[in-house]
Amino acid sequence: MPTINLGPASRRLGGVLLIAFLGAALVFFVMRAGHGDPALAALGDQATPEAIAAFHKRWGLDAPLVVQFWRWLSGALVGNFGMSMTVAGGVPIAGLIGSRLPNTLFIGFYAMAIAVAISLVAGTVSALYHGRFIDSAATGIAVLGISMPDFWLSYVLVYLLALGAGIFPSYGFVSPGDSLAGALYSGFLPAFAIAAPMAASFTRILRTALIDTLYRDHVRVARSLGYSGAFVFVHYVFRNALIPYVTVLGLQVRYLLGGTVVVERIFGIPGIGALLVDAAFGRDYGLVQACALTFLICVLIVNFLVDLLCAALNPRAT
Amino acid sequence: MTEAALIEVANLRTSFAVGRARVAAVRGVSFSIAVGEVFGLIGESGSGKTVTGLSLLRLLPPHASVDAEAIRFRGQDLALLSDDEFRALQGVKLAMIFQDPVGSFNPAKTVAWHLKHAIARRRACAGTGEGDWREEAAQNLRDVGIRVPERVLASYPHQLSGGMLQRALIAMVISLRPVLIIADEPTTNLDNLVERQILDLIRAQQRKLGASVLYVTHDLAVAGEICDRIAVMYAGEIVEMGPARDVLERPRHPYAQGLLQTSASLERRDEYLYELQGEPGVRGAPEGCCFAARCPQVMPKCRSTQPRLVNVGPGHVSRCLLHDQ
Amino acid sequence: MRAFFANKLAVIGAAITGFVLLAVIAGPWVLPHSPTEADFLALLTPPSLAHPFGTDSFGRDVLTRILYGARVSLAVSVTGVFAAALVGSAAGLVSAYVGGWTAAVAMRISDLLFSFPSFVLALFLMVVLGFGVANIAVSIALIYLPLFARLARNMALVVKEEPWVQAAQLMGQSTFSILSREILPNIAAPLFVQIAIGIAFGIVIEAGLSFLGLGVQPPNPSLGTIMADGREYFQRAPWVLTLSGVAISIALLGLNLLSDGIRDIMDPKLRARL
Repeated sequence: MPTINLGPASRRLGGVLLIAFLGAALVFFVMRAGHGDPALAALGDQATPEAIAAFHKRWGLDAPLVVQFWRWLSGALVGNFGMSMTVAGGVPIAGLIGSRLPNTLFIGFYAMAIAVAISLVAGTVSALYHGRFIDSAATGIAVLGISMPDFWLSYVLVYLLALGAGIFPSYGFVSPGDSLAGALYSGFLPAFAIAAPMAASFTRILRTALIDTLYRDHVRVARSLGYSGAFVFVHYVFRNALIPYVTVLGLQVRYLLGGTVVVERIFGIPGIGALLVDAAFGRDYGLVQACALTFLICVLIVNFLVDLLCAALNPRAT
Repeated sequence: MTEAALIEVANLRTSFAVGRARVAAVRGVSFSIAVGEVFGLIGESGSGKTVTGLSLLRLLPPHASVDAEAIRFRGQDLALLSDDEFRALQGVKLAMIFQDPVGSFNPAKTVAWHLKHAIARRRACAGTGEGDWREEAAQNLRDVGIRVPERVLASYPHQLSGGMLQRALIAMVISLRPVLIIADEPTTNLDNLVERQILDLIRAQQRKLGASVLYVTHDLAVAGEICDRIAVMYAGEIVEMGPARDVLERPRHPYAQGLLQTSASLERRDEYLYELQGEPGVRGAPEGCCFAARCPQVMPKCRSTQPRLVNVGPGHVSRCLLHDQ
Repeated sequence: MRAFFANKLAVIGAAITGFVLLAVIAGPWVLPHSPTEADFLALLTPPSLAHPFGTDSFGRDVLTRILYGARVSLAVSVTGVFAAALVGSAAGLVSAYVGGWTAAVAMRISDLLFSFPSFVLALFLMVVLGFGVANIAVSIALIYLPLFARLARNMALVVKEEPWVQAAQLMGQSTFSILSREILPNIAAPLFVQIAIGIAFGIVIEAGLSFLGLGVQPPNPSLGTIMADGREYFQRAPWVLTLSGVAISIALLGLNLLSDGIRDIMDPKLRARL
């Protein structure tokens, strides 16, 4: 294994922190700019000026915006996002997110694992047999997969596999903290609904990357040396196609996590996606901010890890 | 000199599927290479010289089709072998050095990895395992003139220069101890000084191993330097073949003469370069001479009669109707 | 153009897309039903000659609603994506050509927008801007803005170094004419592919938001609100959800095939090997 150079990694980490900070600022200021006064939302349009003033004082909304931002950010840094104003009536936001984040991460990783597993097999097979029937069939299924948005696919799956065949539950999710097997079972349909369109695009990327590599000079050289087909494929073709594949995987994480929002709603999974929707309906701006920022940070962390993986895979990166 | 032919190629034909049509790249090429001989294949780009080399090693993409009366290697007809049987010979008996040393290496692996697997393959075929592969790899690199093999072994391909990589590639190929090496313009991408060194290196290693070399090039000076015998190709056919000195000093075919004149004109830095008329690779009518469309000495019958290779000297043949007169 | 017709996928994709556009534009004129008027005598009737796609829980013709809804979804997505393409690629081109710290800041911001899960960003913007049709288009535009900016910038940075662009520069062409005459034509095809993909994904975003109730508000139809309706009585009248889902898939299929086909055409190297 090539050693990981810490210089570029720490520089990248700096970039991640900068973007996280910008993200926090964006979430905070855009929210305030768009919706002047959280008090009106919480108390309704008929609220008296006194009640509004009292609300402002209670939530610290009478301070200048920059000060409010600083308070919010410094709180967020130590895991204190304040209280949820509406949804759960005074529950700490951090606690809400902390209890729900594992479910979302579980579904996210589960979906990623399914998408990667499908695409590794389908991408490899269609690249090896490119131009033949099996490749056309895989490509056709992939295009259909991309054309099935997750919320629509969810219902097809529920109809066929839950209500129809009765193999999977249609609703209700066992948290991975309670039972990993239960979470894998009850989370399969939602994870698959998110994974299917991802799997389709991963398959295409892997297929293209493999075919591209298949015709590169170094593969012909390896063949000329008489290495076995499997050896050439694994070490010369697949190993080099892995770099663009993993890069795209990292780019798609944001779509994958975005997919959890709707699917959590449909399958009744208590994750931060469903929480975000509740917060949006309740106009609980503090909670919306916190959920959006949590999603952002998840993407940034995963992308950072993917970057490190790419650097380890590609000796030319450093 | 031609006491024992290592490989004899009879009527090799290679064509490519382009859409629904087939385009012929090699049109019936026959030659033989003796043990320990360096045989040059010369021609412009598109003449079929590279495709000839790739055809022999079965390295063409699936849309190519190769067909030959016989490709006899040490008495065994390679054309009859299955892909698996042929693969057993690749590398350890027949090997190739490619034009682009940078692209020839797996970019994700170190030079050491490449040499390790080449050495492992030879040992697996020979059924012997003598000593540490690392020492052998380092020795092989020293043999090709790399003074600090440890550093090169630890390097990734992108960290080395083209000349260094070509040396390492040659080291990798000779660590397999092949008896026939096909070298496809291995010095074209290198600067003059390095080219000279690599040529000397190939010559030295070839002598040391007692291997034969099929040397593919467009450069007459390089061919004159390294080859024992030469075949000149035009539009998929061999138009002249013979001992290197004879072909280069007394070429008989009008195309070979033109090629040589151009080369000499370049060497003399003439104000007006001698130039063969017409577009490179243009073929004459299928029933006539392939060079008729560009030949300065073309005669009416050239367009209707196919010339055959005729003897024009000891071991020297040429494909031109002028020789019949 | 001949390459386009030689590519089966692109032709099929274009045909499906054309069919969808025609149905969406002409359909509501041809069909006799209103998309919003209730008919309490024909609640949840299965598909029949009078109502080929059946009716929903208000007795409204599902086919009419799907066509009206698809019109809304498409209009929202197309508006958003085109706005993003126009502003984003202009910004990307200028930043590639002008450079400097403004470009650096713009690219940081686009990095930031790029790191949000796109659906989360859409939801966040809907909360900020308020629920409703027009704001979905704005959300889609903001989601796609950084993508087009980046794409245009990266391609322009490559094309800029090409010898013919350098030559145009030496010949004293103005920056604007170089951008519009030398660079834009060379990056137009990838931009077009991205627009097609963007419209497809924009439809998904609109439908997703409306499905959750955060986008188009009932009784107005959009593909998402029809599906959300259909889910309420999915067991009793599965055709509402199913047929609206199929409608989305057809629209997406057309756009995806079209963008795939164009991408294949643009990459002749890869095509030759297939």
